[in-house]
Order: sequence, then structure tokens, then C-alpha cells
Amino acid sequence: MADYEIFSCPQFSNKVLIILFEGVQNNAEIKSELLKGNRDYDYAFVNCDNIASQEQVYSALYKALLDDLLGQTKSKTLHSEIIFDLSPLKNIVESLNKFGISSTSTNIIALKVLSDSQIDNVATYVDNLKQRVKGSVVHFDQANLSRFTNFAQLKKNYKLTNISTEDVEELTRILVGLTQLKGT
Amino acid sequence: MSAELVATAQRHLAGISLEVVSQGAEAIVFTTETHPYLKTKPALVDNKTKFIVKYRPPKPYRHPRLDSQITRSRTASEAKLLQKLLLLGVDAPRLLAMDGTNGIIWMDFVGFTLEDGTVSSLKNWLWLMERRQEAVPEDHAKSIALGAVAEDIMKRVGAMVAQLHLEGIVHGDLTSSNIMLKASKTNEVERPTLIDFGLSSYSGLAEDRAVDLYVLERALTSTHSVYAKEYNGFLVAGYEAAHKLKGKLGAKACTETLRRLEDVRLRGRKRSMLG
Ligand SMILES: Nc1ncnc2c1ncn2[C@@H]1O[C@H](COP(=O)(O)OP(=O)(O)O)[C@@H](O)[C@H]1O
Ligand SMILES: [Mg+2]
Repeated sequence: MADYEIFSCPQFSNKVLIILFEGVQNNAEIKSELLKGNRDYDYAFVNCDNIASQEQVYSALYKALLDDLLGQTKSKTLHSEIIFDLSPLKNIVESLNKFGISSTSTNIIALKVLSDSQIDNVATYVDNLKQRVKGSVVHFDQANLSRFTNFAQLKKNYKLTNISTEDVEELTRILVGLTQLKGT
Repeated sequence: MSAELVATAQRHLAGISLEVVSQGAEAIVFTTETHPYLKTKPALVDNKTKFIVKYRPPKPYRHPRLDSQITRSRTASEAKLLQKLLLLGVDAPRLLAMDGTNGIIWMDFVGFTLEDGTVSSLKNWLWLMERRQEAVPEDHAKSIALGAVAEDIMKRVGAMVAQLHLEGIVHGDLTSSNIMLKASKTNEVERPTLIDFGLSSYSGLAEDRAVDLYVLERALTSTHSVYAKEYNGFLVAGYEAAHKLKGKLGAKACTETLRRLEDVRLRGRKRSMLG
């Protein structure tokens, strides 16, 4: 089984590389390289604490790719836009801090938007990422994501503390809606 | 004309195969088997996964800038309402995606195909019940169109409208085509679901709630004249019962709305007498 996934949807020619890492040791280093603008770290790094399902991630990818196509992205790069779209917050920096990589997040989804031509070299991006991120690659699937979800934090960050359910499908429905309505 | 609009929708939705289900004054509605961002599950033989795309095309008679503002705000308002209803636990289609710029909303397909091949709107379902009834002898007649199932459905519709109203939301276009029946998971009974929130709004006015009820009453009267009186009776019964569950405040709001409904009916009658 491939240890990465390529997300695509019919409406967009761009695709997205998805890799899930468990037990990342060097999150502080990654964060600081990101802040320096090191091109080798040109990925979206998402903190798994706030992630309930694959669908939640796909929905944000769709939103970011759509807004990119429409020329309506709000943040500097498409990668920060993806994290911004996952977050219910209006502030981009705050979104990146809470939903992107932080010193406490050890389980991380790395995402990279790839054009048609870049897709041919996907192995390069995968290899590069595996060198930068000190953690083990696990399959991007529901079972692994569920192991990493921190429901208390997720609900706090999405202001859903009044909702008692930990049902992934039910939560996903709400989270998808929040993402799709971002900016309205 | 219509073909042109379909082509425009298709341009905004490259790679999605669209099938027109309805063309209204404001929107064209399509079904598709392609999800905007999930790989479509293998289609089951008799229960294909379907999604709805609601497209509000540009109106050539409006100033382009104003038009795009209107489209964006109506699209967003309908999409937001779907999310609101999800949070409130009111049965409605689920929002899947939205493109406010191009006036597009993606949502779940609700409903199923009735045995006569039509979609399971309340209107079509009642028609089916009535047609079935015509096919049986007089004395059995009542048990179909007015039987326990029809009564139950109409009461549930009333309860659902009450739920909406109790949350301070009015539907704004409550016709029997904008109520769909959903096959329940266990497949024994149908459950009503509201759709088409393009004209919905937040309102605390008894007048607005009464107009919702009146519009539905009129829709039932014009399409199901023989049984409309009974249907409306069930509807109001369900509406009242749901309010009573909310204690004194609920009962008070209900009385106010139903009293207002009488005024609205009277105005309606006067208007039709004046022609
Ligand atoms: N979520 C849905 N599931 C199934 N059918 C739908 C859905 N939304 C719309 N439709 C169908 O499309 C028709 C028109 O959609 P509607 O939202 O009512 O638009 P309009 O404003 O043009 O009336 C409905 O009467 C119904 O038959
Ligand atoms: Mg309608």
C-alpha cells in the first residue's frame, strides 16, 4: 500500500499530496523552518488534534482549490489557505497556530498542492518530506485519524463545546459546513 | 435559452455530469452522481448516491455588479440556513459545498423515487395516495388518502414547521413541492424534510409564521382539493402538538400564529373576491 495519497476532484486540475505522520519529534524545527520561508518546507502541516475525518480534510482542500481558481484566497500561500479553511477563526496567524503545526502536535498531516506536471515527480516531494519530518509515516485513513483526534481540543477550537457527540460522522457534517461557509 | 444556462453551469462545474431536475424563476436544480470532493462510492444497483446542485444564473436584466452581489448573498443565505438547521437538528439537506461567486450550492439529495416514477415530494406522494384510492371501491377509499399513514405524515409536517418557527425561522415558500419525503433508514415509514430555503429568514412575527401556514394550506387546497380540509386539519394538529411540548411560551406563540392565520385567510379571500 502506498504511504501517501493523491487527492483530486473533477473540478480542478491541481491535485494534493497527503501524508500522515505519527509521533513527530522535530515539530519545533519544522515550525521554525516554515517561518523562515525555507522552500523545502513548502507544505501545509496540519495538527491532527483537530481532525475528525478524511472528509473534513478533503472539504478544506476543495474550498482552498475553489477559492484559488476564483482568485479569492485570503492568505499568502495556498498551503496556509488550506489551514485557514480548516479553521473557524477569522485571523490567519491564529488559525496557523491552532490548526497548523505547533510544538505540542506530534501527529501531523502534510499536504502539498501539485500541478499536473509536478505530479509526475511526486516521489521527489514524498522523499523530501520524509527527510524533513522526523516521525513515522502511517496510512491516511479513518482508523489512524481517529487514534489522533483530541475531541476536547477539537470542540474547544471549533466552539462546539455544547455538542456532546463524539460521533465522527455527526461532527464531520458540522465541520464540513463550517469550512464551506468560511468567509460568507 | 435553458440550454445556454445549462452550458454556463457546466462551465463552472467542469468534469461533473449534470442532469436538470427543475428550472425555477431563480434557480436551475441539477442532480449528479459525482460528489464535489469525495470519491464516489461504488454505485449500488437500486440506490445510487445522488447529490443536488442548485445554480442561480446571472440575471441579464440586472446591473452586473448588483446582480453578482444579489446572487452571492442569496446563495450564502440559503447555504447558511442549511448549516443552521443541521445545528438545530431540523431535518434538511446537508450542505456539501458552495460557490457564492457563481451562485452554486451543493447539497445532499433527499427523497426517493415513488412507485409512479415521480420524486417523493409531499405533493407527488399525496397524489399517489389519491390515485391509489380511486382504484379501490368506495368503502375502502378513505383508508388510503386519509388513512393513518397520510395523517401521520401531515402531522409530522406540521410538527416540523413548528420546530422551524419555534427557532425563529420562517421558510418563506412553504409549498408541498418544497417538502420532500425521505425513506427512513429502516424503510418502514417516510419522514418529511424541508428543502428550498432561498426565501427563508429569521422572524419573530406571528404574521410571517401565519403566512408560511397559509401558503402551504393554499398549495394543498389547489392540488388536493378533495381532501385539503382534512390534510390541513392534520397539519394544524401536528403544529399545535409540537408547540405544546414547549410549555406556556410555545402554546402562546401557537395561539398567536393561528389567530393570525385566520386574518391572513380572510385577506386572501377578500383579495380573490376583488379578483
Ligand atoms: N436537496 C434536494 N433533494 C432532492 N431534490 C431536491 C433537492 N433540492 C431541490 N430538489 C428538487 O428540485 C426542485 C427545485 O428546487 P428548489 O430548491 O425548490 O428550487 P426553486 O427555488 O427553483 O423552487 C425541488 O422541487 C425538488 O424537486
Ligand atoms: Mg422550490
